[in-house]
Amino acid sequence: MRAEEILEKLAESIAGCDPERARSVAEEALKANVSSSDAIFNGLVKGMAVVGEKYGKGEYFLAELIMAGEAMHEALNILMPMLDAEKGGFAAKGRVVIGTVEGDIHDIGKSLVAGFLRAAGYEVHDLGVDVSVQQFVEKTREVDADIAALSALLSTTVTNMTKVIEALKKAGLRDRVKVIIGGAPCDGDFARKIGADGYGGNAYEAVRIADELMKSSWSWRRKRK
Amino acid sequence: MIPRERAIKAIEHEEPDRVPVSLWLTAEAYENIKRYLGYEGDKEDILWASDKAFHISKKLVERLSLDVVQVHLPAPADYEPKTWPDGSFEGPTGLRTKKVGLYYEFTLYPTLSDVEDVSDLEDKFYERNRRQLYLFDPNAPRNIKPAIKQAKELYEEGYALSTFSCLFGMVEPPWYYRGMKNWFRDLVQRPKMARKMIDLVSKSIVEYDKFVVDTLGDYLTEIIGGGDVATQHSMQYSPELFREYFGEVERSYVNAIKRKAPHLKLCWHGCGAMRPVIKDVIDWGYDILNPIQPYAGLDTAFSMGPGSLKKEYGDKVCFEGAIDIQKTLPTGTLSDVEREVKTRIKQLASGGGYILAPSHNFQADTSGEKIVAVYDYAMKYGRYPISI
Repeated sequence: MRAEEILEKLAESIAGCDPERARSVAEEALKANVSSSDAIFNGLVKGMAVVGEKYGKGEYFLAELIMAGEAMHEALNILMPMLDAEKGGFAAKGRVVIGTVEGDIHDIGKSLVAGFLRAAGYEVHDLGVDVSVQQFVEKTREVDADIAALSALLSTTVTNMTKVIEALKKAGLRDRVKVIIGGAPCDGDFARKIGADGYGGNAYEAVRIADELMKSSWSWRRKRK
Repeated sequence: MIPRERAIKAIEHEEPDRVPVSLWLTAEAYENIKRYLGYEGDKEDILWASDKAFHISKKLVERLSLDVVQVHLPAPADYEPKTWPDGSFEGPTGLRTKKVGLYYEFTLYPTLSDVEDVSDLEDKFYERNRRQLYLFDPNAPRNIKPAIKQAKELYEEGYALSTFSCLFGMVEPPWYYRGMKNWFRDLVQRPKMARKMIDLVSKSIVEYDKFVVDTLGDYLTEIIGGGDVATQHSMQYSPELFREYFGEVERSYVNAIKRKAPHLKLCWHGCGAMRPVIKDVIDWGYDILNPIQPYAGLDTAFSMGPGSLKKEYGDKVCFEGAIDIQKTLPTGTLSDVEREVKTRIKQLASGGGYILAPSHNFQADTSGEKIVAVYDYAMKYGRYPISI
């Protein structure tokens, strides 16, 4: 099969939310010597765009997003190990620390965003759920994260986002890391109010906002080196 | 007018003397109210179901002028609640919960997540969920007399009584058993598995709910079931899938209950932006839609905006809920709460068809003062004819 055909099939497997197919086509891609970065950015990411479009139009729903996320996960498991080995190497778009804030164990949205960011080319450190303020700060420092992504489902836990932002300030990290938030009780106003850099209403918006922040933050990212 | 008459009139789209009110809250919010009203130490014997089961006092029912009061059958006499090795607690609602932060959260126990072959599903369903299914076994030994006595008393005092459907309805248990990812894949790609799962769950529910109707039915006004099919912004899965999988079983559930007790009203509790399937739920025979989250699906085709819901479905279903607990109650002032109550009454109450209640359980972050204020404002502004 030609490389273009494989890339198209990869995109289709994601757009069709089919994890098994995504895995087998990713294996085919490796066999056919399609470069992993090509497979990801000209295959998977294109498929994701289709899923996003359908979600936006109300043709796809949470179920499809989760399955498309699973499909990307399957394909990435096969493609990622090859990335480093490839000639010229592969630079992640940015480093993200993500988690659901303390006192909250809701992880569907958070895991979707983590999966989508990963598939969009970010290095993602998923701290899971019920993540303490300290864990966020430490991981942000440890991996020198570009973005800290905070999730909450409850009106009672969303306030912990403020605590994370305060702690990042106190630790002297706030000017080196952008903070994005998401979850049912948040919106753009709330994000502004607590001093976050962005709010995403769904996994696609999260990726778009991360991309924008990474672009706009080019100068500060260089400065900090 | 007695509370039951008030509630029934509203459900049947007539204007009663005032907008009826009901109470949904977490155990933690109940503590806030108790503290605020100085009700600590009062006798609490009305079993309330929420994320966990707890008792509330009659005094509170009276103070808030509640029209709808919950009654529930007890667990089998020989049922022992159990703490699992992961620290989660399995109590008489049949769901496992674990304290995380402020709350007892559901810990999913996907006992059937590893089942690949649909022909194994039935045996494993009964084998692995024995403890939980026993809770809902009509033949289990159960000391039902006190519950019946209490229901009778509350009925005679004039309250409208509600109870929850087994496992809170048939829409959610399949994902508890299969795990959410599996369940979504079942719905989209493995229809046989999805159908079998729904079939097994609905059998248990129909059987137990019939038993509830046999024992408490004479005193009940309402059974609350259904389940969540939406998210804050949209649906969990497509409206078409929802119809395809649940239409027939829901219709036959409604028929089974209403055949036994034609006076019973059925309430669909479904969080989030479920607008595209409201018509279906109404067509299947549900009388009440709860909890109407006013900010769900905001500015989209999925919007649960009360004003437009009333316009489209106001003569077909009774709305219960709509007092926003996502923003207004936790972060607003008392005058915001007043404005919220007035707004929702204005949007929803004309011609009946509205039971005022929070847009889900009041949460721990809402003060007792604001919760009590919701009901006081409802008394103040909810008199018919509405003049806001």
